[in-house]
This record gives sequence, structure tokens and C-alpha cells, in this order.
Amino acid sequence: MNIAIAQMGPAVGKVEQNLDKHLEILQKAKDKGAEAVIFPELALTGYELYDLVPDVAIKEGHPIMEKLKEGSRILPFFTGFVLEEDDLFFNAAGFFREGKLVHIHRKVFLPNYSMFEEKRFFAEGDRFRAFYDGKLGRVGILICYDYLHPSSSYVYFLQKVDLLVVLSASPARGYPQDGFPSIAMWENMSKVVSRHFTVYVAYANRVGFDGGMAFGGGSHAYSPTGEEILRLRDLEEDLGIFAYQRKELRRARVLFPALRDERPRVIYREIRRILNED
Amino acid sequence: MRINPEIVENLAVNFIRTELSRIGMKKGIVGLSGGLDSTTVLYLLTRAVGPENAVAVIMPHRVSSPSSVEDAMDVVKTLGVKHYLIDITPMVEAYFEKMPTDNKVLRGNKMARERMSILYDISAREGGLVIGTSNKSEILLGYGTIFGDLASAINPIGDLYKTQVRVLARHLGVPEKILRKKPSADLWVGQTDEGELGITYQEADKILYELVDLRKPVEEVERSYGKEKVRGIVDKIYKNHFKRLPPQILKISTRTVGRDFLYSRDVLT
Repeated sequence: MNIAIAQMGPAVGKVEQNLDKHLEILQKAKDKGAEAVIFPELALTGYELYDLVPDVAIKEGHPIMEKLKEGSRILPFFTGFVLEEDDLFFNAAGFFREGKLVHIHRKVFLPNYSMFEEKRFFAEGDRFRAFYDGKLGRVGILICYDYLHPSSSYVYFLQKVDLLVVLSASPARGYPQDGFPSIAMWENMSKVVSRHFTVYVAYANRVGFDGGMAFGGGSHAYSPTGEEILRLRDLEEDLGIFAYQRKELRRARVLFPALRDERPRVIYREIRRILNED
Repeated sequence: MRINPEIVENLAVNFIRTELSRIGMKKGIVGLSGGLDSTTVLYLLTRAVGPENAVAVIMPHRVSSPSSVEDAMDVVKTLGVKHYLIDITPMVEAYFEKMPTDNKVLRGNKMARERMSILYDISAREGGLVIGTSNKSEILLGYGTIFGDLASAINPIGDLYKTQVRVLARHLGVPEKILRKKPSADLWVGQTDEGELGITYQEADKILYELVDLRKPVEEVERSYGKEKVRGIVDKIYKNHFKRLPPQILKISTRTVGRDFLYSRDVLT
């Protein structure tokens, strides 16, 4: 199966325009032979939203939500948007397929340091639930800072996921030498997570500028043996496709039976002990 | 604090291009002194929008060093950009005839603000954005005139220390004589940045980098560079913080501009 990563740059608050961009890219990816597409974090709204959060939020029945669902008749896709639920606003990612919103992940780890102030504007998600798709297998969605906490990937690992989809809006930062250190950080994470949890990792980062912040791009995919199988450009719009193969998952797990040898009960008991010490 | 100048160039060029197109403008306006920072920014602007959309404004005063105008004119010719040469002596001196002073700082601030006023006038005439030329060293030390040379719409070099700007400039092909020039605001005869600041940029940048970027504790940085120097820098950072901020607004309502009325600079563009 061919999965595309759409490294694009949405405009802050221009939801209609960003939606049109989604539809264009879906068609383009389809023409290139892709069977599913992954867009970055908050690709529908732009990242630096601040007080715009409630104004760009969508929920079931919202015309934009309906248009997103319609778009998934072109190709199934993952994208990031602001989800409204019970008057709460989440930094969310959805998987859309054949006119339906199949699965939602609400960002659990909201960064609130340095240039980030997501906790001020978003409610926190509280679960990592894998879902099953006939073509993709078992999938876990992570949003940006979720992924920098290896425990999130571990929770999906225990749910036997085949594909980790990471939607990101990571600004390029640190004085660049070979490249931006922030971009290398994500690659290092993917190298380790894919190899040690024997999963495919697809990391979709955005590009463009919000308020002087340049988003780094450098989207990539890693195979379950830890090989880089797709690497998009730094800092510029790009679209790339990787081959997602069931047989590679099996081969990786024959080579390295990480899941078989995992001892979640020990981990669970130790975490419980640590928490109970408070 | 080493940088890869090629990556920085591409990013800065892309930034200028993106921000101009978001605002629906083609042109950028740079106040060109003939010094390192403004020359570097004009090179970046020219790469971003082409010489036909880059506008240099050279604004000498009679106390400016004659080589400044010559160097600026050489840059304009090399890049093939449109330029304005406007002598600010008459406007500035008309004011000081009514309000006489020998205070160099007062005179320098007036000159910096006169230049800002001209840049914004030309930006409206040309339909362009004023591109800032303050570097990170100046911004952190507060070595600039508020609403004068610190004023701009976008600034592609404001997160680069002076020594890093020099690396970028060399990569861009800025002429050797400009690279070697002693940094100066050129507001009075014999003025140099390093003379006024009492420290070289080489050293100030290292101290700033450790304090600001690496967030090392002041005491630790003092042990490496000496108490007096580091204290001097820390004092300047805080004393001049106001120059980096919009004016303080007294909060009366529940939603106040700048405090809890928050939108991206790029909102809906």
C-alpha cells in the first residue's frame, strides 16, 4: 500500500483556503498513486491560533467537517484540526475514510514552554486508543509533542499497532549547522521508535511561517526495521510516498521479537508502585 | 553559535518572500547605511524579490562618514536596485535650530527617527514593507533608538548575533571593505559601537549566547568572562527591555490589547 505525506503550510485562521488546499493535495496524491494521505498538525487551521481557537473549531455537523468527510472520498486521510466537544477545544487529529470520520485523537501532551503555550488555549486529551482499518491495519495517532514522550508510543506498542502516524507543527530552531537541530531530533526519535517497537512510523511536519516561526518540514517515514524509507525536504512544501508493506512488519518482528518479549505487567506494577509512593 | 549561512540565507529569503506576499506587497524598503547589517539585509531582500522590487534609501547627515555614502552607493550599483539618496541634514537641523542641544544622544536619536519617518513615507509611496536591519546583539543590548532604527515591519536578521551576521554577509558576497568596517551607528564623528558599549561584539555575543540561548546562570557566565563585563551586559538587557515591547496599556477591561487579546502576527493573511 502507498501512503503519502503531505508537507504543506496552512494559513493562520483561513480554514476554507486550507480546506481547498487539502482537496487539491488529495487529488494530486491520488494521481501519483497514493492510497492514503497524512497531513500535518492543525493543517486545517494553522498553528499560531491563540484567541482564534474557538472561532476555527469544528464538530460533527459543521459544514467544514462535512466537507472534510466528502474529501475522503478522493482518498482516505489523516489531518489536524481544532475539535469542539462540550464547549471544550482540543488540538485533534482525525482519520477520514469514504465520507466518514473514522477515528479521533486528542493531543495528550500540550507543550507549554519556550515558544509554546498550548495549555492556555486547548483542553488536554486523555487517551491513546489504537484503531483498526482494513487497509492500514492497527494504527495509532500522535500529535507532535505526544511523540516526544516515548511512553505514548509505548502505549500504542502494547496495543500492537502496525503504523504510528505523527502529525506535527514543529518550528525549526537552534542555530543550524548541518541542518536545524530540531529537525534531527524528530528523525532520531523515529529511528529508535520504529526499530524498537517494530512499527512503521510516518511523521508529517508542516512548513511555512506563523508570526516569524519557520516550521521545519523534514517529514519522513521509517520501516519497522528502523530504516528511513522517505525523507521530504527541509522547510519547503513537498509531497512524498512510501510503500507500507505487511510483509515488512512480519519480517521485522521475526528479526526482533520486541512485542513478544515485552513485560507490560512488570512495567504496570512498577508504575503503580511509583505513583502510590506519593 | 556557529551557523550554516546557506541554510540561514534560504530561510531568510523565503521569509521575506512569504511575508510580502501575505500582505500583498511586492517591494521591500531598506535604509542603507553602508554598514554590515543593512547591506546584508539588502542582499537578502534582492535575492528574495529581485532588484526591481528592492529599494534602498540612503540617508546621510553632514556628520556621517563620507565613506558610508560611497560604500552604500557601491552596493546599490552592484545589486542594481532602485535607490533614494536623501540628505537629512536640513530636516534635522531645522529642528535643532528651534531646540538647540549639544547632547550627542539627543541628536543621534533625532536622526534615527528622521530616517524612520522617511522610510515609512517611501514605503507608502512605493507600496512596500520596511525591512528591519537590527541584529540580535543590538536588540538584546538595547543599542538602538526606539521608534527609530528599531522600527520595521519584518526583520530577517533580528535573531542573528552581529558576529553571525558577518558570517552570513561573507557567504552572500558582501564586499570585503564592508565586512571589515568597524561597526558604527555613525551618528557622530568617531562613534563606534564597541567604543560606546565598552566591549567587543566578539565577546558580547558569546556572553549573550550563554545567557540568553543557553540560559546559563549569570554567576556561571561571570566566572568565564568576568563579573564586571557580564553585569554590564545583564544591566543593559533589562534596562532596555522596553525598547523591545509595544507600549504598556493600562488594563481596565477584561480583554486588553497585548495581554489577553492575542492573535498571530500573520492572522488571516
